[in-house]
Amino acid sequence: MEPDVTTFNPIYVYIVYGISILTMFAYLFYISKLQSSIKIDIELIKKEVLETKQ
Amino acid sequence: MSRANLLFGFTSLFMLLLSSYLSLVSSPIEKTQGIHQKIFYLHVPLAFLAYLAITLVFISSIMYLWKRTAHWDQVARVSAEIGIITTTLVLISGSLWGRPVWGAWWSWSDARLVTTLVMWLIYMAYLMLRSLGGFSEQTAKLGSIIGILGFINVPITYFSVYLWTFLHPLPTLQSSDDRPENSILIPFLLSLFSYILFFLYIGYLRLQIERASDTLKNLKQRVYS
Repeated sequence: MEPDVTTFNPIYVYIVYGISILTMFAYLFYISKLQSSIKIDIELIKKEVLETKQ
Repeated sequence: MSRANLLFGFTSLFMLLLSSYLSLVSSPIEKTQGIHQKIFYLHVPLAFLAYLAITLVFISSIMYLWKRTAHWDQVARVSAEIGIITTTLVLISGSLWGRPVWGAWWSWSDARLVTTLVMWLIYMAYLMLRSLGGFSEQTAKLGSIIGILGFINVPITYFSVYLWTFLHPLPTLQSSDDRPENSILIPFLLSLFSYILFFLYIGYLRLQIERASDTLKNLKQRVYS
């Protein structure tokens, strides 16, 4: 393959920025999913503790 | 989520968008590489963050083996996760930068590329061990050993361009003769600052979740046993 610097085709730049921004948002989404699963687990434990008390 | 946390999050996102705009739109088009040089504003800050995250894995692994507190193990796990994300993006952006500029997606004869891939594999192994090994002190100890030994590859990766020059260029920011002009330097520094801020925010959030998750695991063991 030959270098392509003579053409000012921005496609590679857009792909790089697109992938990076998508990855960062995907990671934020993953973090929020983890947070909500922890909340669900806390609720389950609360329920369990209340049931055993009763 | 507290108000300070939200403000921190919005500021880091805003800075990230602003620096991306400045890098893509306002910065000049470089003469030799053309528009492809704009990948530099993303590739170099991410590489810096990858080194920073992996250095944190190294420091917190040492601290865990010394102090044996869960906090240092959590910091190591979160840093390794951020390290693998940034290294993956460095490899992808480097490959997409290399294709139009060097005429190749990848070169096995370039030391910087190969040592970065080795770094990625080491931290992938670290994360696989942590995720498959379960919640035990044995896994944390083994993970710390990998975190310490894996760091040996970081100086090799950094200095590889000085030792075995092939395709990857030498850093220009440290040299006084070849320093880029302000129209390139300012968007770059802003970009570096924005990425550091954004990953600090993400790392802080992830650490809070990791702490809550560990506390929950302990609680579950007590409740269900």
